[in-house]
Amino acid sequence: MRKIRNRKRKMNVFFAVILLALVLSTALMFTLFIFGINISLKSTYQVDNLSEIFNLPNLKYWKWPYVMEPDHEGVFGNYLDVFERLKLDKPNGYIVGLFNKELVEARIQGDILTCSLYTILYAGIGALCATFMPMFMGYLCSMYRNKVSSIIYALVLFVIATPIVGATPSAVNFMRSIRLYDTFIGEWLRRSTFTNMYFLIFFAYFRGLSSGFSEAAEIDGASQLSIMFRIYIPLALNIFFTVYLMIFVAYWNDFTTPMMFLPSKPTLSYLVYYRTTYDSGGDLNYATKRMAALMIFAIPIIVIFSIFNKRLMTNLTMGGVKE
Amino acid sequence: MEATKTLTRRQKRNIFFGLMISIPILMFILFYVCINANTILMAFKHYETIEGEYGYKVTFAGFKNFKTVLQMLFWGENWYMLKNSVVLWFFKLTIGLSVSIIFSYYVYKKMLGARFFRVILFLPNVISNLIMVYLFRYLVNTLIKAPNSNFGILEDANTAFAPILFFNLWLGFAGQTLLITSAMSSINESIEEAAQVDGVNSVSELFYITLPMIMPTLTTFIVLSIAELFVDQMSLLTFYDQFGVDGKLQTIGFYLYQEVYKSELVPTTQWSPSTPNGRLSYSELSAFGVMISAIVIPLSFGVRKLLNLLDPNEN
Repeated sequence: MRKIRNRKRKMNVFFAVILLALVLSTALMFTLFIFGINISLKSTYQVDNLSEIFNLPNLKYWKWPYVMEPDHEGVFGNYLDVFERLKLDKPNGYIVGLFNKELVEARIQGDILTCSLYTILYAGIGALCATFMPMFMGYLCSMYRNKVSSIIYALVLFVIATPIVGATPSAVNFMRSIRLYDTFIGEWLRRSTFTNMYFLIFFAYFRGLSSGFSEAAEIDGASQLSIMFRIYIPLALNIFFTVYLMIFVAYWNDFTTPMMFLPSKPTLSYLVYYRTTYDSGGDLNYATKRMAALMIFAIPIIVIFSIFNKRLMTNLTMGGVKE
Repeated sequence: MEATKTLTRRQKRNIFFGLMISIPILMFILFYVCINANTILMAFKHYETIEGEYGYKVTFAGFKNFKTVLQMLFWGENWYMLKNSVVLWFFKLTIGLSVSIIFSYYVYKKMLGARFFRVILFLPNVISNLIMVYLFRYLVNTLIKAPNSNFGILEDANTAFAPILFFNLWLGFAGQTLLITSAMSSINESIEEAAQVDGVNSVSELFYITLPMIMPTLTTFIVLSIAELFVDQMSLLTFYDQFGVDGKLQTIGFYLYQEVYKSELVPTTQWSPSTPNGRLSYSELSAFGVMISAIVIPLSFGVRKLLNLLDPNEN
């Protein structure tokens, strides 16, 4: 009998057609990036000249008579311009309070450095809250088996299966009422939810661990808190870090939530979106500058992906990490 | 001191459990129960500003907010948002999911360049949609012009829908491919070996072995897609600027986000047939949300039940 050692099949017409589609899809993606990088390195005049649009950057277009007095010239001129101009300063006001209503006169303010700090606070700490809470509840519900933990498990399944749409106006109104709107603390609290898929992953993982560790530690006099933080949570750090990375990347790229809930604390994605797309009349309203701003924004996440791509592409199963 | 000594191991564990879960449960009540309950309450409220104060006069609105939403939905070109949402959902579910399955099958079978394509297909999950949209928009607008116009194809509402739909389908493969490939990897190899020994070709293997075996994953995708039906913004926020999107291109997901961002409890100009450029208030938007949830929740439960009945693994 012929032995088949792995799932691999021989190339045939079916797979050849799929290969062609994959090659085309990949080619489109690379074309977009190469085109984008090329545009970001050109002078605006060269890009405006349609016959030059696919040519490589030409330094003559950075000088007189094509450009009067560029702030910065050369292939990195747009990048230097963007570093200087990528900032926001606009008034913003909203009413807060439940009974005693007050007008808060804030400003949407930030440059690249401030917005990077806001991004660390929003994506870095926000992702930490969003990862810790399901792990914490997953641990409690799997290790302490009682009626309450069974109810919580059923509740999580119910929330995941019940798609509620259109709660954002209520959420904005609620956050304003409790005066946590436009604050990082409010956003971290809002993110600290356990009713999601990650709870199920952590729950399954902890349930698969032996309870012998905890019994032995209890005999040795360890408190419940020590057992959780010194024995079990360190065992789950691999999954914790994977989930954290996935959420961090999603928060890093997300500009819609900060725009809605942190209007005067622009993160980098919010800043880049606002200045390159939303605010179409602004001084970055040139394809060259926009491309440069977008490339600057993409670099950190590409670096993260190059370092952690295996971890990011890992498959989180109900019971651990499967590579 | 004496009291703590008399506590049994079980009591200690129960006290610890009770104390620890109290904070997450409180957060759940605040940020899930209160917010969703408030959505329902707001849907039946009418807010008015009080002259000289920052407070609001709140009155019971009955079904007036729901009536305004229905009026808005079928006024002028607004019904396009409903149509576009359904069309986008349908294409994502049929073409999008089918292509994702086929690509995943290629990667799963470890064909030529499978590892490379796996990374490439995953990339849009990591790279911001903002970047992908702007690159796509610029390239497409530069290369393809709208008929009888100097403007790019995406600048004309009559021609923009198809390329935007293509973009959304294309990027939609990203997350799906990884998950479907993982589901395929959990299939027992001996089943495939037996099929291959019996001379089953790759297409038959996909349809008669692989697909039925990953049916639970596909069921999850389909059920989740129903929730996405009225949430998907079709990346319109990044395709167009602050001046918004032509009514013919909008989806309900985009409309809801944009309205919440630009409106208030009491908007400066209230939407009505005589002021169509006005905005819906937060109460009306909540009513819109309640209406959508009332459709989507039973639909997703029904579809899940139906798919479970059809799933050969369940039988």
